[in-house]
Parts: sequence; C-alpha cells; structure tokens
Amino acid sequence: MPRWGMVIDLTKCVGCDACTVACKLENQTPGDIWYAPVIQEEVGQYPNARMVFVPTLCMHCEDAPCVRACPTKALMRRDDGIVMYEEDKCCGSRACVTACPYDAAKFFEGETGESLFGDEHTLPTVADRGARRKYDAGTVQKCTFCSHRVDHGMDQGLQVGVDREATPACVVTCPAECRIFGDLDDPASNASRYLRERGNNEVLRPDAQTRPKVIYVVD
Amino acid sequence: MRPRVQRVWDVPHACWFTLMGIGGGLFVISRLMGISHDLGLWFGLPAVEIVSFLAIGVGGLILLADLGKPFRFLRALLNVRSSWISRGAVADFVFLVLATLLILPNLKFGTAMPFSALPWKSEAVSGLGRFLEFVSILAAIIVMYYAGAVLSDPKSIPYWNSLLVPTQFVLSSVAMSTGILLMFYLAVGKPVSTGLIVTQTIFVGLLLVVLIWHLSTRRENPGKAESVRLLLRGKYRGLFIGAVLVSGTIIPFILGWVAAVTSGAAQVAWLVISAILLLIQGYYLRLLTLRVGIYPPLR
Repeated sequence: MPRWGMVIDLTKCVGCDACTVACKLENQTPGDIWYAPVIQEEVGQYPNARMVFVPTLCMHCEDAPCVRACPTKALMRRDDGIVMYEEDKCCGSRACVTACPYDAAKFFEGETGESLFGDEHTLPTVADRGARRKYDAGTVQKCTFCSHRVDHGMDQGLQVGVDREATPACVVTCPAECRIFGDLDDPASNASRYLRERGNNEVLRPDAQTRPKVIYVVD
Repeated sequence: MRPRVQRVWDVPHACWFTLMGIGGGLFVISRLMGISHDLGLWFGLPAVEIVSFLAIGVGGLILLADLGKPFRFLRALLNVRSSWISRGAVADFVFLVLATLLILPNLKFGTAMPFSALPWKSEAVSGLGRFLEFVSILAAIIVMYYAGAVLSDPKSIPYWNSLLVPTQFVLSSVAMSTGILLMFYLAVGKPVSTGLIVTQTIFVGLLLVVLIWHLSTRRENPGKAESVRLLLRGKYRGLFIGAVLVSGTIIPFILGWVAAVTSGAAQVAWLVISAILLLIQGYYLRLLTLRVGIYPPLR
C-alpha cells in the first residue's frame, strides 16, 4: 500500500497562486473556501527585504489531530494515508478546525449546494472523476490530495505523481514545478528521490507532532 | 510568519462550558457533602439538583444550536476512543439519565408519589441508590472536566495544550457551584455551612495558583507568548486582570475568609458579592481562554 505524500520546494515557489486557483477549479469549492492557499510574507528589512511564499494544504498527517478530535468519525485516514472526510457524518462541531495546526479544515457557512460554477457549469472531467461539486452548509471541508484523481489513476493503471490525470491538480498546475507528489514509502518515487537529492527539508509546526506528509524543501 | 487566532469557538462555547461546569459542580458537591436534600425541595426533588439538570440541559441546547448540523448530534457519541467531545456527550447523557432516575422516586405531586415504588430513594441509602449516585457523580465529574480537555487535547494551540486548562475549569466550576450552594443556604434560611465557605475559599485560592502557574509556563513558545500578552498587556487585559484575576479570584478569596469568621447581615453580603464575582469570573475565564486560542506561526 502506498503512502501518498507531497514535497514542496520553497526555493522554487514564485507565489503565483496557480496551485490555489487550480485546486479551487478542480474541487469547485464555494466562495470563501480555499483548500490550498499560499501564505505570502515579507521578511527582512530594506535593503535585504524579500517575499517568502509558503503553499499550504492539508498535511494528511500520520497522527492527524482532526481525526482524533472529530466526535462523529466524519474524518478518517485511508490505508494510503490520505485523510478524508465524509460530509454526511459531520455535525459541524468544528473540533477539527481548532485541532488542526495548519488551518486546513474549513467550516462552510454558506448555502447548501453552493459551488464555484453552480450546477450548470461543472467541468465534465471533474464530474466524471467524482470530485465534489456540491457542499453542505454547516459542515467542514478539506483538501483530499485530489483523491478522485489518485483513485482514478490507480484504477486506470496510471503512474500516480507522474501522469497528469493521476496527480493532484495543484501539482500538475505549478509552473515552477515546486510540488512533487508520490509514494513516500517507495524510494524510487519522484517525491522520495527529490527529497533525497535536495536534502534540506522540514515540516510545518513540528512542535505539533502530527507527522505531516507534506514536506518542504528549504534553502 | 504571524500567529493566527482561532475564531470558530466563542460566546456560545463559553456559555456551554460555564453551564456544564456549574451543573456538574452543583451535583458533585451537594452529593459529596450530603446537603442536596437540605437546601429546598421542588415537587419533592432536591432544588439544587433541578438547577444542576437545568444548567446542563441549557448548556447542551446551546451547544446543539451552535452545531453546523444540530440534527446529527447523536453521531457525536461515536468517537469516545479519542474525542473529548464524544466522551463529554456520553457523560452528559449518562448523567442526565441516571441522576434523573436517582431522584425520581421522591417526585411528589401533592400527596401522590408516582415513582415511589422504585427500589431506591433519592437519598441513596440502598445499594442500588448508592450505585446510581456513584455513577452519576462520576459522570458529573467528567462533565466538569471535559470542556477543558476538549481544548487541551490537541497540540495546535499552545495556550490550550496544557492540563492546567481543564484544571482551571474544574476549580472554577467548584468555586462557582459552592457560591450558588451558599446562595441556596441563604434562600432557605438555614445557617450557612462554614465547611462549604472554607471549601470555596480553598478552591478559589487553588484556582489563583493554577492561573498564575499557567500564565508563567512555556512563555518561549510564540503562540503561548502571544496569548499571554493579549491577556496581560493586550486587548483582554482589563477583562482578564479585572474580572478573572482580581475580582474573580483575589477578592472572593479574601471575602471567603472574612465570611467564614463573620455572621449575620455582613456574612450574607460577603457571600452574595463573592458568588456574583465567581460567576462572572467563571464565564470570562472560559471566554477569554477561547479568545486567546492562538496558533503559532507555521514556520
């Protein structure tokens, strides 16, 4: 069984937000729900000031605090490590929102059925792969590592993390190629090789001890 | 990168936490001190315990109203293995059912006692009654504790991630409940129990110690440092120092000792003032704890 994870090379990110928008299009999330925002911040002081970009998303933690905190078992870890949610089970307690150190769980307060394009304009490819199009008000939503694309790729015998159809939308869209998706347990996967070659890496909020599966390559 | 404030839990959760603390505390203390039947009866049932049930019932309703999907609340009982909300919900149900059963035989309408045939008494003198009382007390203790545990369990917010948070909530619950119990003494015109006043004062003193302890530890963590800054020097300074630290613990601590050695109208005045201050403290302690729930920078 693979253990899906993502490597994000912060030295390559140009802060274009293409990943954020690609994710929104792919998952057609309602207005104020963004699964993959890029945090932008100015660091240093003139004349040594510079922008730092940190693309974020659900870290699909091995010890996911959201799964632990959820009273209704609406959140669970799949065998391949993807942390999924079942909207129909969510009671909207927001325990996962407070428990997540990464601001990855989003509480949707809008109108049920609201989506980016409405019912009439869903992208056929998304609909075919079973991505979410309607969102239930009063429940929590989050990134699924584009599980519909991953599962579709596995079903079709494609190479997850290599073939575009079988790779999360944020990864295939990134113009700087700073995101790499793959099986972290497979030493031959793109993600594992990249980590080995680039060496210096870190996870966000290591103090939270969640063992995240999104790993950042840094200077 | 900057710290981030949690914004999903606020006033409804503070009300819920406060009412659960009061409800659980009233039942536990009145039962452990054996005073529940001395402080007035309503329809044959201990008035203190009716208030306890009402507090927990209203607290539960506030929580339900705040859920995104209130009609799925029964699903919240499913994850007792790891979720403190689930454990608390189970404790709420167990408490409300068993404690109601415990007092039911004493229910009286005029001279009619429709449940008197049940094989136990509200006073818990028989084996079955004592069992119901024991389990109810245990459930009520969990009810007092779990609100704090919900906050302290995940490591995401350093100010919350400490056993001192549920400890504060339990101590505050005991302080508020004893304050209300002392009001019951005054309402039914019975001589006030000095033991109860001393108990209250000791718990208020302990709360003060735990509060200061919590404020002074792990200050090197940027998230906690920001939380403490907001409480002591930031926008919550007035409420926290005023309503929680000074008028919520230091003054009731002093008033408690004064009330223990005085009597008559002066004692009544000190106890009433103290109870009001403790209730205000209980609410603001919880609300401000929620509002300074700050996530440290991601990196």
